[in-house]
Amino acid sequence: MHPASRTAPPRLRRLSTVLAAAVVVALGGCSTASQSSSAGASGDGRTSLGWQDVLTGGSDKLDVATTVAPISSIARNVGGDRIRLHGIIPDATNSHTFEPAPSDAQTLAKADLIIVNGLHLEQPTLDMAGVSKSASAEIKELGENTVTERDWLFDFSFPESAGDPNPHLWMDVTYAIRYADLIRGWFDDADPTNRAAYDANYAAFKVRLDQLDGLIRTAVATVPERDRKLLTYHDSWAYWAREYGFSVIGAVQASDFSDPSPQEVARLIQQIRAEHVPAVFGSEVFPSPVLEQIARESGATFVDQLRDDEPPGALMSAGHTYVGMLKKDMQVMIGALGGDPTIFDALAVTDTWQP
Amino acid sequence: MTALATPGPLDRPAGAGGGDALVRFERVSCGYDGPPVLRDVDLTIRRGAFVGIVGPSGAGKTTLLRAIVGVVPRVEGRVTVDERAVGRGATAGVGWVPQLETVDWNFPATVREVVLMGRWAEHPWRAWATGDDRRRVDGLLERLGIGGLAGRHIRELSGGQQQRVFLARALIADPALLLLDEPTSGVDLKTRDDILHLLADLNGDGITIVLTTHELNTVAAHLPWVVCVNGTIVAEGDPDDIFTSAILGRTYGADLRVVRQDGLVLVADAAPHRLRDAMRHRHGDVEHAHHEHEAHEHAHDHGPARDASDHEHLP
Amino acid sequence: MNLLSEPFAFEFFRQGLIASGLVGALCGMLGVYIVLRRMSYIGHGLSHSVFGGAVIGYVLALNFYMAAGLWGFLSALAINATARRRRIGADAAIGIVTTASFAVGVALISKTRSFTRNFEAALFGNILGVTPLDLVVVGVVTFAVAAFIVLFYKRLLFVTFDPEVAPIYGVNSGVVDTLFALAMAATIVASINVVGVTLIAATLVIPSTSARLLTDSFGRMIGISTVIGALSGIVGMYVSYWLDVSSGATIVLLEAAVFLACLVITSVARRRPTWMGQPIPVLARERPADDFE
Repeated sequence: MHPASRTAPPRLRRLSTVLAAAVVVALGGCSTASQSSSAGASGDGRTSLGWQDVLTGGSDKLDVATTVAPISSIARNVGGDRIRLHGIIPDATNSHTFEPAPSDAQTLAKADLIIVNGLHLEQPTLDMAGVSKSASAEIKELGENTVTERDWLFDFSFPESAGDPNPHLWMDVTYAIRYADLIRGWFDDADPTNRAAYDANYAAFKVRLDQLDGLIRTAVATVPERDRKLLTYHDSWAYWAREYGFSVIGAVQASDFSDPSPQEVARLIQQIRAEHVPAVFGSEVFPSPVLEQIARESGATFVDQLRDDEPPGALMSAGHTYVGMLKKDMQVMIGALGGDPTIFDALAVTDTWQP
Repeated sequence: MTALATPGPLDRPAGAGGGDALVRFERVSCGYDGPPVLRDVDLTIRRGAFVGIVGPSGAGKTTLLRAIVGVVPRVEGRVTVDERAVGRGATAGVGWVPQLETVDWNFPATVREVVLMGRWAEHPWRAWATGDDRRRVDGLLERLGIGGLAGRHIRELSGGQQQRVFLARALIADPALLLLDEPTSGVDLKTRDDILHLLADLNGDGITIVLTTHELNTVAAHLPWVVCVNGTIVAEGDPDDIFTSAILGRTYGADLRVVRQDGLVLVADAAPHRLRDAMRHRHGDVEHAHHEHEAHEHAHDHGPARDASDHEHLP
Repeated sequence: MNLLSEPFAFEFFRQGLIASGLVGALCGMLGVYIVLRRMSYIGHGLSHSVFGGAVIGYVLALNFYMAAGLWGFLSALAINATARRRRIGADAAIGIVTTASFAVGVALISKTRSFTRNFEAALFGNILGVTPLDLVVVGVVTFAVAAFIVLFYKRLLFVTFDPEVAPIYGVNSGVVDTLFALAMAATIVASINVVGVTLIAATLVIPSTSARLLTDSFGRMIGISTVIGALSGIVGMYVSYWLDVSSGATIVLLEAAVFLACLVITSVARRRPTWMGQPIPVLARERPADDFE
């Protein structure tokens, strides 16, 4: 029999050691996002400039800060190597709740231009930008300048009662073209000496985007009309669906991020069965056991590879671009819904700017 | 009180036990965190003994008891029960009765459930109580005078009944040694008597009993053997022999007077009397001043007529 | 289709029903010990610890159940060890260990900037998305904890009733406490994945407190608590379908309603004033007079 329910100190010490060791291993094992300055050649097909430049605030180049990856990619395609570009929100992070760190404040302070999506997509970052930016810097909002209230879409994830419209404009390629045009104008104003380059870059990029837009329409036509339905988690496809003729029949994540009620789940299952929807789409950022269960029970395929803010591949790789992201999404989605994904095979995804 | 004055089981001369050594302390110092509570303890408790441990609070009474069951973390020296070193399963055969104050009375447990706790090792992996278990419990409760209370919640009992429940818990495993921590604190006169007689009966059946107590006059003085503890063993023996002013003074660090009369041993604490003297003395000063003033008045009343100024001086 | 049996046609509902019944029973069983040890805050606290463990596990690319379970277990041990020291009560111990673990999780998340998972969603669990694997885990844990409680019944009772005296009677309280910590961690991890953080804290505390009102016997308290937990889970799930409300919330509300009912019934029937399940001792039946010597 051991003495004392009063635990002897040796046990507590051993326990503390184990806990401390676990913490140390964990902290040491995690990787910090490296802040590498721009490297690699431009547009040579193997690497891209990415958007992790360190902004210096110097007057030799335009310093641009952006938020989510799609916007950063678009900005890079317009600015090429004439700008220093830094995207604040890491890929695939929930931009609605992302809290920028103090180092981000420094980046924002050095920027000449701060480009955000707006429409409340990245409010905490926008707040910090307002406080941190230098006096001469300007904050530009893409969303507000692309659609008027009339075009706002409210839906399951962004109900009208909450006030904020769905902000995921960039998935609609026609809006992306508008984004690029806006950025071109702002670059021109801020850095007139490079005006010609920016305009040329925009023109080249527009060609690529028009190509993408056309391919999407062609691909959509190969999907049987009755299958042009989307059930996703966290609705980022509202504008895309409107533009390309799909209907969004539901988003599992309600506006307040709470659980769907049992009857909602039952209704969705019945609807999917009744309309023979071939696939439902989840997101790795928002793991959804409910969506998987709905898919299992209704016989639809569960696909979780769609992304709205995470380009494929490594950060500096050639395919890590806005076009790359849309291409992959389309291949996955069109394929899952019974269309022909090979239409996109020939589409190049690399940056289009010229040095 | 008269019942205890006549020769009875408690007055057996072999109060220290006539048998071989059951519990042995050899040069034992022990304590918790910090300095040892007990130092250099050499003590032998013989089989069949009925021993009371007395001493001031914090002096090690309970620690001594706990050392016998091996729950004191730091021990130097040797403590053995039945020649086996303590701490290696030697608690088989030892029953422990805790102080009533330490019990959680709101815990949902019936009398039967509490008593059966003492017998857990009989069938350690079986969750339910067997018929045999119930019979033993009922029989024991009957023997202790609380038969029929088996289904009641422990909170519903009187102090004396509660004490017996925990005694039953200790007894149900047929221990050879019974340890009780302040078994008579917080109970009334009659209950205390009953419990002591109960213990005497058990002792008569051969169970060795060691208890701690702070009640010198009503408990310790009537036990066959007493150990005085104050950080170490100050003295041990028959209270008739060791209850002296000197020994008790060393034990309690207080001025204790011992009176022997009518076959009774009475220990009195002189300190309260000194306090009363001090208070009386102070009171006396005030009264003295008051008397003086009255006398003064008297004199004035019967003297020549005073003028107004004299009045003003009077309080 | 019969209206009453409509929800049973759905697999998600059937699986959710089994899950909530099992989790209700599991937490009802274990909750008795947690409440009697005055550790009612532990459900809330350990779930925060588990969050820290899950984050660490994610960073080290470990399986969620393993990482969260191990960390929860270590936290429970640390809580036990700290609470044993007289100067720090169990409530403070829980607060310290669990918030520190939670902070580890938060710190790690803020350090690894490229965090791609929405952790709040992962940890809130979803009873409507219960997979067969989840059911197996919950089933196994329920069975294991029940076996633990049955096999260690006498030891657990003694240690819970009087942790100081139990070792004197030969109970190895170190082993019992360690296994109890393991049971707690396993319960929390298995249940969180199914029913979420808030529900855990409630199902651990409410059914056992209700049971305490209804009986003074330890054995019956466990039985009643388990039954209340299981029934609340099952009925709550069913009712939530018809109310079209979150299932988790419905289950908790049902348990709370049962508690209120018990409170009212016992206060009226026995005329014994009670507060939070404990009869007020002063007003209990008086002990015969204790004279001073």
